[in-house]
Amino acid sequence: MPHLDGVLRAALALCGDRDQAEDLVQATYLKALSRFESFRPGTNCKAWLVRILRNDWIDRLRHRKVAGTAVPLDETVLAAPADDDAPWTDADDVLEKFSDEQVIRALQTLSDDQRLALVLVDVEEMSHEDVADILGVARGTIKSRTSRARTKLKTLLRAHARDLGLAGEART
Amino acid sequence: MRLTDEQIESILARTEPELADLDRNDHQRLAEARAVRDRLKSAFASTIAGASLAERISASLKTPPARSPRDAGRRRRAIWLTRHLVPVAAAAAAVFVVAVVLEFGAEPAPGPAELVRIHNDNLTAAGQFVAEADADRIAEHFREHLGFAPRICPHDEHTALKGGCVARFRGRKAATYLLAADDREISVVVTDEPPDAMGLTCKCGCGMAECRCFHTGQCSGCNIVSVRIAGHSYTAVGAAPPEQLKDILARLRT
Repeated sequence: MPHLDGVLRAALALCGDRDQAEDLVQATYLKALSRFESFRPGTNCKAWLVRILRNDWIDRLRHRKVAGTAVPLDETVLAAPADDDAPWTDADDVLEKFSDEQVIRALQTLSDDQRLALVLVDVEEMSHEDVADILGVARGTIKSRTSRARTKLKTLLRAHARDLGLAGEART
Repeated sequence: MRLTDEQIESILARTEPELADLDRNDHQRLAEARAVRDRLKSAFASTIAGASLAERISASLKTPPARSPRDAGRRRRAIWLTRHLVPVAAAAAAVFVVAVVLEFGAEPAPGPAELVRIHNDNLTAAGQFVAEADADRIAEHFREHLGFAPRICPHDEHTALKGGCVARFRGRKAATYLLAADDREISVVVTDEPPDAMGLTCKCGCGMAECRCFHTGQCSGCNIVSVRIAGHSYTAVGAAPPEQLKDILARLRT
């Protein structure tokens, strides 16, 4: 199954929940098969699959909204702290102390398109052009979006590390 | 100079070269962005689609067969064949599985033994070993054959790279390189398998695939220390004491 791992990671970035992500991936591959004629040979197949995934995710969100289903706010989602411009010299060490689940959960505080862009660029190592194509925006927008998303995630994890006593105060 | 956020993104994506004369502030911003990127990457490293998901999708992709009156006879024959041949086929399959298990079902070589075997191959420069002291060239070799370049211990007065190659660990490709550290030879083996799955243990004993503790083990007179870094297991193997092996791996973390 081509690109299954990458599509699953993108789905997990969007849903934040493994079961829901697997359902989304299954729906994505079914839709991809049914509209295979829209795939242009020679273009990026993974980007095409992720675009279908994102569209399906948007449809699901819209459906939930129309159906009036409340989307529960995860109690464990962290409140966004104020930006911290002080240098974070021990970032590598402190970030290693978080579990993978904590990092993925923290990602959920970003907007859908911010976290998808960040995961596609940082985790899937897709080009800015491909991600721009998936999200239907300009390449420059992807650069600024990933930059803001990464900064927000950093600020959040740093503040959380302080709260948990995982790191000392920033050295200035 | 102060880099814009877009420039930092381009440097991270390697579409723009990193300038040599960055000031301290820009250097710090780049380091922080890299730290977040690497941690995010390693957080998702264990997200792999299991066989069940692939099977589930394959099953749902299969469209139901078209039915028509003409197919009725064919379907009846198929049902008869299914009823009569399935038990026979199942029995034959069971015999085949038992035979295969008896023939090939022996336990795979334990992880530590495999790691020591790779270390010994490095010491004797066996197989595909490339004698090369230039870390960039070895990194390029790995990138070409594995699609990524593992972290290589920086060269200094105590540590020198002797070479490396793509080895096989439990049937899968793994990067390995040999270091001379204070007159001791140490192999570093880079695999996807978490240290726990390689038969190494850690003090916390959590058993999590992405546990970040140092895992240790011993085999055939060699000490083994392993740690997860950026989604891979970096395992140091050699006759050196565990503390020295940990020191090598700790330098890879930075």
